[in-house]
Amino acid sequence: MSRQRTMEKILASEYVTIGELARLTGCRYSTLKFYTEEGMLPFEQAEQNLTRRYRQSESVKRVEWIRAQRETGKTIPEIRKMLEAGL
Amino acid sequence: MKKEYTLSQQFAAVSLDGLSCNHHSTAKYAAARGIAAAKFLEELLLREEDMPAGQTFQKKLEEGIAAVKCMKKKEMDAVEKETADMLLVDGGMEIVPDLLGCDMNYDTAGVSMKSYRSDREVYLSVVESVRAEILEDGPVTMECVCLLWLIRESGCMHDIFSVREQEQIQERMMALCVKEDQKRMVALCAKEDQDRENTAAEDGGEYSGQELTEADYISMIWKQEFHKSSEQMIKSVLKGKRALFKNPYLEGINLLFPFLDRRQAIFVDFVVFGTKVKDRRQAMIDYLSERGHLVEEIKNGTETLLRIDNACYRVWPKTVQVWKVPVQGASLVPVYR
Repeated sequence: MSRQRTMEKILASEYVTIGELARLTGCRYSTLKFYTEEGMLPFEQAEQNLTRRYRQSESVKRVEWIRAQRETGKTIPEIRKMLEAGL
Repeated sequence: MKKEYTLSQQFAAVSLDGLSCNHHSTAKYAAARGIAAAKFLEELLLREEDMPAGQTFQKKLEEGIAAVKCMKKKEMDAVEKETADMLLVDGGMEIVPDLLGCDMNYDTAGVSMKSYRSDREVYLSVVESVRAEILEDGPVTMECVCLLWLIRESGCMHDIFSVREQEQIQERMMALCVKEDQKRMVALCAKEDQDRENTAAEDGGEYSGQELTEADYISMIWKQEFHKSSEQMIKSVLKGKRALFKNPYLEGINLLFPFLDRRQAIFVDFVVFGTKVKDRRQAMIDYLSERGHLVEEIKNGTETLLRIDNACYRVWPKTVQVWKVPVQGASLVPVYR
């Protein structure tokens, strides 16, 4: 039976699941899903029916960055444009 | 949540949040039984390196749950206090004035009430990781299944999942159990063909003498119930009302799983000159903030809700009559997902 990974193991691993990302960032699942669907949170998927996995450190940094931008009053389309422009 | 919490602590952070810490309620007893069940599961499933196989596991599980179901009030109080104290010391939870104490009747009567409030980060981390794991395709861990089962049995489902999500969960759990069950049956048939003398029927049990699959564990846990028959009765009455309640205004109310009313609507009296909605909302925010609650506005489509501590409420302007004297104010009505 698969077990939940400890925080130590999650922090040491390269890839995390969306649930683990929610644990790491304290961000809502629906928010992370929305960011993913909007293309703001890059993920990897080996095959179509396999689970999406996120690069741990990059994703945490990205979520924190988006959160900081939201706090400054920027809207999601503005943040998306900034990401597309590579800012 | 960088700190590791045990299953019982994670469940306590979800189930005790918003419940009165110095008064008894059905919801609190359900939470206490859930904490006791979580502690039992920690021992049985999550700590034992060699989990008992087959019938032994089922027997142990049933005995443990039966013991949880028969717990006395004093035992439940002790379990609740022990776990809550650990979280309080750790900073995962705090004691704050109860929101019900802000109601006009309680406030004017000078009733002091205290309730548990889970740390926002801890609460979100537990809830959102469970939501992500069960609503997203992919493997489901034992911890997630256990937490989900505890949440279901303690009547917290409607706080965490919307009706649509609950239906998704029901389907997902069925699929998890059935898919693996079919595999097990195919393997069993093949085994029977090979050696007819060693069939499972001879052992006399559904899971006897065989290595349990992931689905067997899930299925065995998901089938168990520890909520009381009185709560079951409430559930069946509400089940009957399900069709009636399924409309755009009340669709957030959970009637698929055991339902326990964990929050109440309250009335706060105040007079705000001018009748703007924003002013009334701001008056409510100021009033609650003065009393130690964490209040923030959340946009939900065209309306604005208030998140008070870890739960959402809708503000309604209201006038009540006390001895034929109209008192102006606003009502806070709980909003479910």
